[in-house]
Amino acid sequence: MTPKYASCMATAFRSFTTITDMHFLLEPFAYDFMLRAFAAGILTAIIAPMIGIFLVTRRYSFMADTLAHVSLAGIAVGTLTGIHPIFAALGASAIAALAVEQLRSAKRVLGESALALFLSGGLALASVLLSLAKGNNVNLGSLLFGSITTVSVTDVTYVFALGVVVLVVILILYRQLFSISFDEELSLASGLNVGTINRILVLLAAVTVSLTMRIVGVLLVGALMIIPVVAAMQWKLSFLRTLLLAIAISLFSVVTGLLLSFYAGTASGGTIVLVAIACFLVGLGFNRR
Amino acid sequence: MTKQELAIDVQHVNFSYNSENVLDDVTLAVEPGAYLGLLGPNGGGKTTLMKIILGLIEPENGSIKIFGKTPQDARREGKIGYVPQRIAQGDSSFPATVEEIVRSGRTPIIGIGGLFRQSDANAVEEALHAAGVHHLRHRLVGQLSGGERQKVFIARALASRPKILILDEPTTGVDIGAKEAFYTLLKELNTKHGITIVFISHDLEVVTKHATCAACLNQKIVVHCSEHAFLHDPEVRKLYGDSFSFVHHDH
Repeated sequence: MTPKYASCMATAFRSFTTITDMHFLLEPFAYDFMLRAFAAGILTAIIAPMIGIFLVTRRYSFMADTLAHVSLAGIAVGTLTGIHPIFAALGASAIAALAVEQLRSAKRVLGESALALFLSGGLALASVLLSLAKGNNVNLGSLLFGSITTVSVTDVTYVFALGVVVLVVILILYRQLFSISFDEELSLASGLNVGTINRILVLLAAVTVSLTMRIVGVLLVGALMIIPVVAAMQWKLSFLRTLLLAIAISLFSVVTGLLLSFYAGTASGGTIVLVAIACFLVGLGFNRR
Repeated sequence: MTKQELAIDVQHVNFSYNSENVLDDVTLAVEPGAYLGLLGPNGGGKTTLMKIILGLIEPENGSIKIFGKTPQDARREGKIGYVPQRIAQGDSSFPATVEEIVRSGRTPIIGIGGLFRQSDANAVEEALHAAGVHHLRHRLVGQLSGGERQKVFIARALASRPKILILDEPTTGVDIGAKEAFYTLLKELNTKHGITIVFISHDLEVVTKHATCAACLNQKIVVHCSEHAFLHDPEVRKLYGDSFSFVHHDH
């Protein structure tokens, strides 16, 4: 073999391995279901911590989980009645969100007790209704843990339409939400309409939950809204920077989690949340004091 | 020329809670530029009266005017700055800088969806300077001492350029040195910036030492702008008789 021939062979081999690597890396994007999952995932990754930061800072982290469990009951109703799962989940979680807020603000029940009441109630109702809907081909596994293969074009459309609404409302109410999260009594005394803004926040949380659950599943919705925020808070930054970092962590978790779940064949929701927890641990490790 | 409007004009206000009388025919007139200390025992109705002045609760009868306006209107226009109780011990994990907290004092004025303009930035700068926390503006509020936090809340209240500052037990949880500095700051805001100040305290010494007028509220109210008259008022003597030996100040 002449040196010139050997050199050509080596170049050709390197090109081949590069093409194979590229093919390996680009493979997820060759599937329509993955593109849909990325599209829906990226938007939910942006809005989930935007709501989450206002829930975490007012010690309301379990609101997202509660609404997710109530959403499951909504989906069960949707399965029985033929309503689209996103809207069925949205309807149920919106009603629950307003009811929890009403019980809390009227001081009839402690905030956390109201959440526990609706979390258990939602799950109980869902289990009864899903047992009635057994013949309707309900995939409980994908509902609970999320499944990227089940995200349809219609889902992506709804996620975008509702997601943009959530985004715009948060941007408009950002100052009011910040003020109320910091101190509700002070905000009330400053003349802010605390009751209405609180109701809007829980409704936005309900919308976000119903969108996010398609990607990460009912059991992990709360995680995507809360963990990136808690991870970002470890870096002790201003409120705005904490929010921006939380969005970055959430985006990183969703994109990395979706890719990992594609290659490893694992549940998308669980993989995304584990990546987010890894980000939290990194933040905790760097900021130990 | 019309008569100057009162900063706070409370007329014949009654309030009861669970059929227990909390405020009994309370009348209080606070002149613009006054520095009033509101004293009284726990359960005497101090916080209730303050909430009524702020328009957070409605009295059963009587009327309240703040510079001639309803408390709700005055609040919306940023005329009243409020510093709540127990701020010094607040949530240390809340991720916000001093500047973000002080900026939030402009929120009711900016309104929903409004932009933060140059005039808002100027008001925030002035408030940070007036409260002596400009050098702390990039620090996280959770990392401050009780006394520093309290000043940040004064700055937040000042950001709306209020005419009246109402403070509820402002130095709870603040150490003695910071307490003195705090009341000196209030005095400065009162004399230099002409802000009417009303602070609630259960400490006779604090009220008689720092305020130029003192009120004592125990369902009924008595107000005096002379320390001698205040300390010899029968209502005050009934409540604080034993403390007299400790109180000797020169105004």
